[in-house]
Amino acid sequence: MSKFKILLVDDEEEFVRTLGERLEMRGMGPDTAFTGEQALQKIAEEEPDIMILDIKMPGIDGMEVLRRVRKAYPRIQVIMLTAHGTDKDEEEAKRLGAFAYLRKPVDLELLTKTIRGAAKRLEALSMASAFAEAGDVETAKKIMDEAKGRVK
Amino acid sequence: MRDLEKAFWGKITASVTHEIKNTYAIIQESSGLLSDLLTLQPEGSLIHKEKFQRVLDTINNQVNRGVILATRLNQFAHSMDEPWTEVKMADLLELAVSLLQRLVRRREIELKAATPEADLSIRSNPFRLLLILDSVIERLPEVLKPGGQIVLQSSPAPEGLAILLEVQGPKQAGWEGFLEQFFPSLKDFLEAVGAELAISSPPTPEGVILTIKTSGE
Repeated sequence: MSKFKILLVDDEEEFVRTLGERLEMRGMGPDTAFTGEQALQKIAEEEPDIMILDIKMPGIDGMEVLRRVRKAYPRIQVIMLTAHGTDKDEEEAKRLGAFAYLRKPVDLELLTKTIRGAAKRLEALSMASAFAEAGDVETAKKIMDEAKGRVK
Repeated sequence: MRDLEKAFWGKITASVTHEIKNTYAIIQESSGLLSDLLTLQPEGSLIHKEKFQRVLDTINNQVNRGVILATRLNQFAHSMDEPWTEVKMADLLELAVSLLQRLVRRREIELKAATPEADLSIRSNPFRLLLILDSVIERLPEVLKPGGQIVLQSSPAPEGLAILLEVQGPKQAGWEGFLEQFFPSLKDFLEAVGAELAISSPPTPEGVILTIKTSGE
């Protein structure tokens, strides 16, 4: 797991600190950001593989960060993690391409399982991309379909 | 309550319950981190390790309890978001049970929702439906003896759907008349959502039936 870079974005600093330490103990230590602006800056400087993203933040909120990330960095897998979740927010996040939508407080086992699922999706993307570049589009498509089925 | 007042109350309550969940999330992660650190302690190096773990488990259990309560209050607040919306019966009855079971349990009556036979939904006003259900449910313990049960179940009806509030267990004589005399006090709310209340008697299960018409808007 350590080969994947994770970015944890939330304006609740104590939450970021404690969750970050717990993830680190499980080999998933994240970089952190406390605002949407900070998150976008960190993404531009050092593109993460997986983002754990809150929705309600001062300034640029999580939904807008998700929108921009999906447009400019479609490879990044975004896990929404919010206390402000409504069914409408969940539908919107999934429509925008979020990998998963979790509600706070979250069971750490569920979060780490979701992160592993996102990592597998990334591995499948890389493999599919290699097959596609070699001209084997059918195998590339099959790999992606399997990856989608596995993480749902 | 006027629409503007309801919207105001709903908006503030929903916002505060979200913040409460943020607070619970920080407590949960903090106790989780302590638990992680305890696990890393070598065996026998911490005298009160088991006590620490027990206290952390209590914190986690209470966090989970608080989250469920905050989530229900949040859902109730969101029931005021839109006057008319698609209401899923299973969700509505589950919410009604979780919000109201404490009130009837004080009178030694259990409140439950039966597993729905199908995914039923209707375009209606969830806040008003909850208000009507609450008004009826609060009266039902008066006709039941301690140990009785109220079971909520939705089913399709010719012009919409119906919610049966079945009363199980010994009932006081004349329970039907006692409940019927109270129905007119809900007239305005019932008309507002195109609904009717009636007594359900054998051969159908005993209780009160709330019929909601599809065209209530």
